[in-house]
Amino acid sequence: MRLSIAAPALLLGAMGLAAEAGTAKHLVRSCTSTTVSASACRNHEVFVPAGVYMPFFKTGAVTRTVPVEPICLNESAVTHEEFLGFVRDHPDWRKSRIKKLYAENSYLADWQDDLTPRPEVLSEPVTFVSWFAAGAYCEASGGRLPTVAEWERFASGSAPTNKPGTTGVGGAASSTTAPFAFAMGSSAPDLANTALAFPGVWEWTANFNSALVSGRIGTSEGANSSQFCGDGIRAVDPSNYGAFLRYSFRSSLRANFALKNLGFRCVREVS
Amino acid sequence: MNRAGSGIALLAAVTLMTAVASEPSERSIYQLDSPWVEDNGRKMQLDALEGDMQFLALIYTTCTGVCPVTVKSMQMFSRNMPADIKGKIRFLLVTVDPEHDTLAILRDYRRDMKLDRHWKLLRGSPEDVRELAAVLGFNYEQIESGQFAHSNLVTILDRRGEIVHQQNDFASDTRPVIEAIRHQQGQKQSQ
Repeated sequence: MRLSIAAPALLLGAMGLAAEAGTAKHLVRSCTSTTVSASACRNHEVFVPAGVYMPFFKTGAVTRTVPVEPICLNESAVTHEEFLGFVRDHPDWRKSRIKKLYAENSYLADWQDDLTPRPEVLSEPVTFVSWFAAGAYCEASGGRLPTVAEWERFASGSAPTNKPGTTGVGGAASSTTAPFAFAMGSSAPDLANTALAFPGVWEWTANFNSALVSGRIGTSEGANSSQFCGDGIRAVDPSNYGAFLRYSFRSSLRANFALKNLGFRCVREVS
Repeated sequence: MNRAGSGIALLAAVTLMTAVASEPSERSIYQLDSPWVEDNGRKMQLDALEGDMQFLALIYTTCTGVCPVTVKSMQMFSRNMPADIKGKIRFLLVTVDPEHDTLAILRDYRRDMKLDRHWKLLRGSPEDVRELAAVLGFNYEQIESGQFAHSNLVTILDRRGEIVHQQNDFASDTRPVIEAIRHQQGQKQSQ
């Protein structure tokens, strides 16, 4: 039993991201004998069993894998309607009241006023929300934003060879016409039969500011040496275009940004 | 001319004092209400820093890369500041590795680096450090046991806790920081 866990982990290190899907499944099978179960999750949440996260960047010859705890996850991104409920109850997060530290001027830019999202988008993902606002929403609903590790574990289900110009990638993300939909997430293989959905927006993560990306990914020079400490950061798989986009995007964000294509979903820890 | 100048300076000072006495400004990072602990064990919140300009860097004590250079440069800077800005700014180091950097380790760090009373060393929860870093635009990630990949960014805060200057690679050019402090002092001078 112990061997069956250790061997794939080694393999994973040797083979890069391509090994992730199969191995994650394997690990999940090995881990689900614990007491944690899907029944802990609420309506419109998906149970994500324990798995592994393969960081996109490595610093040496060895590729790390990070174990990810089981979580209950919003099926989809938080909608305008849901966010409206939140700002009704929490006036400090209304667009006329929010402090500039917590959101730039474009916060809820497509809302007509404090309590009026456009009616035709009520059930679509709320965007123009800052990291602070997203985190506050999740906290108010008893959860938090997913970490990068968690997000990548449940959402990086697409083939690791997405390249510009490829079509038909990204599976569940295809309901939208967003040009980068393939990079905006698709269900991990072991969640393919769940209601997990990716509506074609980028999503905030709790530690979005962990990404260190500059123009030279894939070379031994890694990040610009005058801006970053931590020499020799390299992408595990530079051909994973979707992951490259996601990590680049995250690294370009500031916590007060409120962008048109950036929404969020929450997770709850399973006790 | 001179009198008018000092009148404006006085007015500016009064305005500033009023601002300090009231609520923190909307852009002030002192609105973060996270709890922090100084290396001497004293608990504090960021708004306790109000009133002095702050020279802020995020570090961790086991860093072997650029952080010691940054801290040494800040220290050299503090000792060699031009007379007109001497004593006008405090120094603030926040560890991004609170799990390793206990208060005792921070006290050792203060001793080893010979940081005087103008320096504060802060420790907070991993979540609160993450939030502070997010506000500053400072990126970091633990990459292997003990080491971090992180931005090489220093920040100057004004008396109310607003970011007035940020710079990568401070060690190679201290002039922008001097200018930022002078600007805040209202005594920006042509060289």
